[in-house]
Amino acid sequence: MLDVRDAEDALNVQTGDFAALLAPYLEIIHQRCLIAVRDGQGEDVAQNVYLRLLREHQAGRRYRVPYRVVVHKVVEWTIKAHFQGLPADVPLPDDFELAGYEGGVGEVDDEDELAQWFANLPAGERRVCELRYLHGLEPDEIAGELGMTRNAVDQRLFHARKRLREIIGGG
Amino acid sequence: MAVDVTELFEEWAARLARDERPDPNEYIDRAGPQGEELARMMDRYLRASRPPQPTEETVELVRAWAASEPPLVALRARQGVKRDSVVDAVMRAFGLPEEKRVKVKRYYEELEAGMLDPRQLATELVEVLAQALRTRPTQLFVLRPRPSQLPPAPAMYRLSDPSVAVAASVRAAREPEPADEVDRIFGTAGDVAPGL
Repeated sequence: MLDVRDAEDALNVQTGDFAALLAPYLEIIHQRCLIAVRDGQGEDVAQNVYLRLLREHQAGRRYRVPYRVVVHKVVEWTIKAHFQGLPADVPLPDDFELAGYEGGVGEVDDEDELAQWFANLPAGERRVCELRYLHGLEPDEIAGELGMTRNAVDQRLFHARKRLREIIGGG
Repeated sequence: MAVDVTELFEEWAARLARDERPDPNEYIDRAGPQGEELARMMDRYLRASRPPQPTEETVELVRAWAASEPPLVALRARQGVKRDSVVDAVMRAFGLPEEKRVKVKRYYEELEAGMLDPRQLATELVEVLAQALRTRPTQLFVLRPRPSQLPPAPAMYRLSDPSVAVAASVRAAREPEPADEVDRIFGTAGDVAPGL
């Protein structure tokens, strides 16, 4: 499912605005690299991902998939290169974007959509979770925002955590 | 007491949403035997996330980095802060004697040039630098200078103030000094002879 982010990315690819293209993804790249590479070199691997994306851009590459797919693919390639002791500055193969994404642009990661995960929660838990996970509010703040008691917020988060573990942890 | 991996996950996700750049490995460590499950959950979550709109400052930092400008220099220029003002702030915050100014300035220049590892900086120094540069601590070292932005060789590295270079080369030629407070906050206390 393509969304607003994808549309903005597509526009930035078109206009060649690399800074606007990479900036939203910096932290996602950073976190994924730190999680995968725990030998103290996760930061270095993240920097290599940024560099690789810059080189791709400078080489004038255009993609048939949303830019986020390219970002995640480059993250995975760079992490793999790190563990295999391969150089991180090798250009990606021309058909890299198709590997693992044969379903086409419209079907990319549909089942992993965060919004969909939350949409599958009962209504009461959904709003509490959106405020907690997507907006980073503390339980007391959520209680104030939704006019609920702190205890009610805790209860909903407790139940939602179990459901999210089944959804997210099940993969 | 058993750790609830879902609580750790929730806390990490909330901090991520607040743009606090949480260290995921801190959470994975805290999860103990469930660390791998937590790592999988975090990674799946990140793959499914749509990033928020970046701040103008972040976009500008990436723009500078892509244009081969060291990000920390770009940040300082964007905020209209002079390098000496940053040095002043560090001197004041740590109550350092005036004779340490040259050393602080040199280390700060090395930091801007990507010659010092920001991960080794004392937390309180990062906070002082962020305050001096009028930004958030998490914003300071998002991007490191690109390899092409690094000085080609120590001898070629031009410091803004020649006296800094002279003092540094004289110091480097002498016996290594014992580590002091400046070394501690810049994370060079373990270096035998931090040179240019």
